[in-house]
Amino acid sequence: MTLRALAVLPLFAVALTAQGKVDFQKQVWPILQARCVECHAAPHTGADGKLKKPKGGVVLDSKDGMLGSDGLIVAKDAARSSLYTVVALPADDEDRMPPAKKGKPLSDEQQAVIKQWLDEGAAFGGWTGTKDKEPAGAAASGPTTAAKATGKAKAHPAVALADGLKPLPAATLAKFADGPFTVHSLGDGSPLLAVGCRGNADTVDDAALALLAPIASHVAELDLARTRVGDDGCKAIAAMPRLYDLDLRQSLVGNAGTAALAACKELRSLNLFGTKAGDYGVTALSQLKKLEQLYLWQTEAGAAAVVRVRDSIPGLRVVMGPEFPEAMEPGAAGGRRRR
Amino acid sequence: MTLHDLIRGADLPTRRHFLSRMAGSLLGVGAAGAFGPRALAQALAQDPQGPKTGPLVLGRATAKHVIYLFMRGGMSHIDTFDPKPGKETGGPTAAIPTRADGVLVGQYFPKLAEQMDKVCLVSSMSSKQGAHSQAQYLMRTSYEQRGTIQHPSLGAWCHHLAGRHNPTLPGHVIVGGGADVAGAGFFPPEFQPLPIGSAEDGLQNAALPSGVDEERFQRRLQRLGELDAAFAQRHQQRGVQAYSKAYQEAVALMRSSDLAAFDLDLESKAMQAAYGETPFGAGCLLARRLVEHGVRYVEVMSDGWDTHADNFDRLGDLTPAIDQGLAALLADLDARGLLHKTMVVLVSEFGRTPDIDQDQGRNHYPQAFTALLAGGGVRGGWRYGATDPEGRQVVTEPTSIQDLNATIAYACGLPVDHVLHSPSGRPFKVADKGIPVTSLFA
Repeated sequence: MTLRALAVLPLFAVALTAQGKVDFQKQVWPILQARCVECHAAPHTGADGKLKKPKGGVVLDSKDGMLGSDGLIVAKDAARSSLYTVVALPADDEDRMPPAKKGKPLSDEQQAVIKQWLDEGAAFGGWTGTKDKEPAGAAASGPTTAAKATGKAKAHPAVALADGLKPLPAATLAKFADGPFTVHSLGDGSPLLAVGCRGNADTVDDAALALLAPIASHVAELDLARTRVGDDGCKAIAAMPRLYDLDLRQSLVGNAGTAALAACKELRSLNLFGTKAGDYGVTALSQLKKLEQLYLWQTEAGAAAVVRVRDSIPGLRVVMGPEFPEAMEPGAAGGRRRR
Repeated sequence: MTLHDLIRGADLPTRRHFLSRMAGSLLGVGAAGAFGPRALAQALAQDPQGPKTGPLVLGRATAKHVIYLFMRGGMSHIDTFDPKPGKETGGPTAAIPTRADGVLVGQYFPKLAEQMDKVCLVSSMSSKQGAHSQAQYLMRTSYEQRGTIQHPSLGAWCHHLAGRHNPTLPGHVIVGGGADVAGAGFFPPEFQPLPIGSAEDGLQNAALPSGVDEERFQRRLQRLGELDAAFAQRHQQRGVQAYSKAYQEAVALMRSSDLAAFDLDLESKAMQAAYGETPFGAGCLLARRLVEHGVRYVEVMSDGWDTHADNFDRLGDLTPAIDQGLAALLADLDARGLLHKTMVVLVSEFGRTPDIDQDQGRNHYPQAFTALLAGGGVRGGWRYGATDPEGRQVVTEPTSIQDLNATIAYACGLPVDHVLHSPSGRPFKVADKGIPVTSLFA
């Protein structure tokens, strides 16, 4: 009790100043300590001898705990940090923190301290807070930590491909606000691009691909499915050194175009379903040593060429067509079982 | 609304429903019932551009599309994907082996068994909501139903956070119902799903009326523009502009070759037979066509799973369409190179009681049930989590509805911690507090 009473004191002592930066330990922590950590502390044994877990998995008594809760702290953006948004909800909102049964909402001044601290970048100074009181196993049950740990196990090919690559100027990308192609970043701030068609794919032809020349160095995923792109267009595609996923299904590509794609050394997935790709083109793909998936249903590729390409690329999966289930008998209720 | 309307409304969307909902999704304006003009304007104003392309996350998950199959009524987990042969709770349902070593399914799925190498069964689903509409709402939105707010469905979240692949087509389509379920919620009305009552009938009223040729249609549009011009001039509001945009987009779709996405007659007889000529099979085939044309999120509804009586006979009638349609869908998507970019999900709002009652029925059971995932980067051929030997309780890897939805969102590269605010300023996330099960991904 005394501890808590003492902790509230600095609040009154340190007035919020416009020019000074908010100090976490002196200004923010006392608020959290007084109003939040009763429920949001790392798992520990309570006064009654029972294990107390943090409510909602949100841990506010350590730096690691706070940074480990998804969306709790978004540096320089209080409006997206739930640490701020939940305390700023109207007093009668059922999601407001602290909940009504735990007393009044935080004062406007307290809310402002938290907001300013987040907006200034959420620096903790030297504060790290409570260390885990439980063995590592218990801490791993906290939200997101588990998700993040396993999520990075195998690097996405885009990570290595983007190494050292500068993003294209915004003006170059702005030209794709309309026209036949949609252009997006792959996400996570990657300079690499995913390119697709803006509807009416059957109006996109070889000539349209000239529009992609200024961004060819950055295209990693290209979806030209159901377009009228043919062998000439594949020359433009062959000038995309970082392309790892190419979808040409049901386009007009034939043997010459398929063979030209052998220049795209980074290809992991190539979809030629429903094209005129044949033995000559498919055999040329044997040089694509990183290829993982090759789709050849409804093409003109014969068994010998398929075996050759599969034997020259370790781990390649060649998909030749579906194993459809047999059709249902009319009116059948298969697997029916009477009592 | 008359009683007749209500009865009809429970079944297929009426024409009026359909038109207003269609306007809401494809065409960018909402049904007046859900959004008065003021709310509409507010909703549109709160997020002028919208985060069309949210901060997508690079991961091993690779879904660009979702096909979400919903078994409405509560599908018995024990008789379908979590069989308990030899136990009293297993009932007369036999378990059959599948192409995935060690993964058994109920006898009703011999064709799907051949595709189980592509499937991950999440057998540790659990929730506390045992009433149909509330549980369906929870499953599709991640939030408990409340009187004060309408939550957006997962499809609306995907559309909002990631945008449309193909701007000519709607971002989110519901096949076989959908006029009565959560849609855009508090999001702007452009995120409303487009409901297609019957997959076989496709998109209705999208062709020119008989006797109206292109020239006449053009004149009509021009006249409409003239009539609207003065009003639009006087009231330069987003809601008014949204209506004009709605018409433009609808006309663009009418003239687009992408309209063919809705037409199952363009599929061969053999293909239609492979999917099974049932409403569900046709729904799966339509879902595949829509995904091919760039629709991000397609839901297919299947009704009738509330088997309080004669559970085993009823399953014998209900399951063949699912077995056929889903098996064909998985095989077809894979052969077209679409399965690795499409996450296929089959869920029901809850499971059914392990104990079989005197009517040979099983009753509502949210404590334990199974969800099915395939594609979109998910590792196939295994079961995640488990129930006890009688199928009563989850014993390993408990997975909440929010966790499942977070996993689907993760598969699509959506940021599960991204907060969007309702018009009243309350924060919401795509799967509430759900945590993605990243170990499902290859």
